[in-house]
Amino acid sequence: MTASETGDALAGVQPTAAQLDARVTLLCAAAFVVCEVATPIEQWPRFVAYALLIAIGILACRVPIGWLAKRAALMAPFVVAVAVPVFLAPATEGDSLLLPIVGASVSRAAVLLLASVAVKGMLSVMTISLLIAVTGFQRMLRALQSLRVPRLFVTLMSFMWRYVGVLADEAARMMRARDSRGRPRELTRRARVAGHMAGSLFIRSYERAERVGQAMVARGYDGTVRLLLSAERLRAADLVLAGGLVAALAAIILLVPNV
Amino acid sequence: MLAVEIDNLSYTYPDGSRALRGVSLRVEEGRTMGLVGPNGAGKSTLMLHLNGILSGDGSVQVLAKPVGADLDHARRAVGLVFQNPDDQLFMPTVFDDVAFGPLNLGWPEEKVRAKVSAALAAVGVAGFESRSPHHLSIGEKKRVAIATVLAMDCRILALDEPATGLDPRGRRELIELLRGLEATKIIATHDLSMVLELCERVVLLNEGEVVIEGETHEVLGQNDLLLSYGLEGPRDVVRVPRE
Repeated sequence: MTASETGDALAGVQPTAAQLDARVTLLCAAAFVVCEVATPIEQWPRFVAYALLIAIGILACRVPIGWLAKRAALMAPFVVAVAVPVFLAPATEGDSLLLPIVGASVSRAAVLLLASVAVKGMLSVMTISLLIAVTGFQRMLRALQSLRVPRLFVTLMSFMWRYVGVLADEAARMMRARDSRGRPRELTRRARVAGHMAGSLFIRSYERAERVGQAMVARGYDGTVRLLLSAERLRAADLVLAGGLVAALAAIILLVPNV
Repeated sequence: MLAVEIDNLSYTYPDGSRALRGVSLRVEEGRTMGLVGPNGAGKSTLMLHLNGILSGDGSVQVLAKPVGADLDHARRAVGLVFQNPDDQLFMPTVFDDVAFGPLNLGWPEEKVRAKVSAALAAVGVAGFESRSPHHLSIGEKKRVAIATVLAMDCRILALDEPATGLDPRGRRELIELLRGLEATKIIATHDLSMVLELCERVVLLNEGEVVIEGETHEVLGQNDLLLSYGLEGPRDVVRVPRE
């Protein structure tokens, strides 16, 4: 059974890592993401250090690389979305950068922006993936709640996690139904069909939300979703992790020289 | 004691469609009542009145208390099991889902945990606590959906199409499971042979009105009547007319 089925730590993850206190792993991941996102992209040696740090974490926790690669692939559309305008942006005097192979010159600022999105995005996705792998989604939700994150936010995440699969199944069924009746050839008609499907998926979700709401009220929902918190316990390993991360981040920020 | 007493209940949806027209109904405690009728007859709408999700004109009393006057009482008393378990099971794990109602009742943690294990054991899926509902089979989902109301100690169970989507074995297991539950049961369904097995009385609903109410054998034996409302009596009661 995989993590997505039980909401526990991913199978095969290093056992000590899987037992880490969810609150500690969550805070560590948050601290790491805040630091790397706040670092200007020009300071590239720091990003090498960040990448090294997360790689050590991944290897130490024995997170399967294939599983991570699938998550990394999620970044691709975002990078492409930023890359397209970058290569269309006009290069101005003093801000142009000659691309080695293509031979075209592009705006330096735009390239830096692209690098910033790609690098910071990838580091963040890897960090969150590592967190989910060792802690599991369920424990993470509970940790968020015990750290006093607003309940509405926790509830939203929990609903998203519960229904994303249901929605994906519904979309897949609709696409099968479309394909079995012959897929239209022309792009415009295909686009129109896709638009109708998206609309109908939205309405179905809306109706489902109403029924789910009724089911919640029927069982006494009063505006607050109550979760029983799991018994998390601070151990030596948690202190080592937290201490180690703080030291490493401090070292990266203070010791890696500015470029 | 009457578990449910409905008097002259009418309900019109906001879009103007009249779902219930003057429905009156009594269900004695401990009994099982079948609620049958064609699609759109108002079965589900009637169910939603039992614990005040909808409130129409007329009176609905649950365990001798008007539903509107004390919603908490009605929601504690009546466990509604929705037709689609994906609507009923909205929490990320089976445990959270079954614990949802008990936690809303304000029970202490130990009692909640005990109730969750007992309810899951009662429906035959003990140990499923950490599973995600999305990855259960349809039969397992139906069982967990029933557990969500069993854990609240509901004295009345209102089940909407409990057997839909189940294969024959799943359906058989569900019937045996329902038979074993002590609560008063109201079962809305098209599955008349299940009604024959489980229900002492049946009410036939059409276009929001009660057509007939009576002993199961008596009602299900009138195949012509059932056929005229888009239903078909089970073969073991109905004498099939010969050519």
